Amino acid sequence: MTDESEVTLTVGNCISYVSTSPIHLGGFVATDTASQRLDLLRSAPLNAWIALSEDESRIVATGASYQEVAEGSEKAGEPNPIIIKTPVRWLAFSV
Amino acid sequence: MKFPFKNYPNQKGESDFWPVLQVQISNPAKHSPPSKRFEALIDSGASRCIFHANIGKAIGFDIEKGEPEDTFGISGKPSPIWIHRAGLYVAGSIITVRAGFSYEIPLAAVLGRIGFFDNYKITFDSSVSPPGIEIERIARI
Repeated sequence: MTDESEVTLTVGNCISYVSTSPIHLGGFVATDTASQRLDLLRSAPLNAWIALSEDESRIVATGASYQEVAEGSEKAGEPNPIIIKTPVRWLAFSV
Repeated sequence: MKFPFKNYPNQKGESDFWPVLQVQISNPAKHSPPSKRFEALIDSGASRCIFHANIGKAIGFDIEKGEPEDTFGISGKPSPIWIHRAGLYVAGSIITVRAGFSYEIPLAAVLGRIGFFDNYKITFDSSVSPPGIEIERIARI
C-alpha cells in the first residue's frame, strides 16, 4: 500500500492528486466506490438525513434531523461524517 | 482545486452527476464550532447560498430572528428564508456569507451567486471523464 490512501483521507474528494486507483475516485463513473455510493444512497431512507462514513463506504447514522445524525455518527465512532439530506424521491434536480 | 461531481440516484434507477461540495458552516455571532461536513449543491441559478434551517438550528442560529425574505425556485412558489451571517468553510478556506436558511429546501444546501460565486471562480467541466469542478478563490485587495 502506498501513501495514496492517506492522501485521499486528507483531501477528501479533491482530485488535484491524480491517481489511477479506482478507490480514490469517489464520485467518478464506473468505479466500485461510485457504485457503492449509489447503492448506499438508494438504500437510505427518503426525506431524511443520513451520515456517511468519511470514506463514503457506509451509512453510519440516519435520522429525521441534522442534529440526530450528527450525534448518531459520533456514537457510531465516526466523528467526521459526510451528511446528506435525502429528498422525498430521487428525481432530477431543478432549483 | 478540483473536485469530482458526485453520483446521485435518479428516478429511472440510473445515476446523475451533481456538482456538490462538502462544506461546513458556523455561527460567527456565537463563535460556534463549525457544523459537520455536508454536501451542498453548486447552483449558479440560485441568487444566494441557502442552507437547511435544521443545520442552522443545530449550531445555534435563531432562524426566525434573521432578516426574512421570500425566494422561489422552478415551481414559482414563494418560500420563506431568513438571512444570517454565516461562516462558510469550503475548498480549504473560510469566508463569511449572508446566507438564507430554509425549512423547505429539499437538500442540505445550495451555494449560489451572492457569497459563493462572488468569492470563487468556478469552472464546470462535463466534457472530461470524470466530470468535475475547478474552484479558484478570487483575490480581494
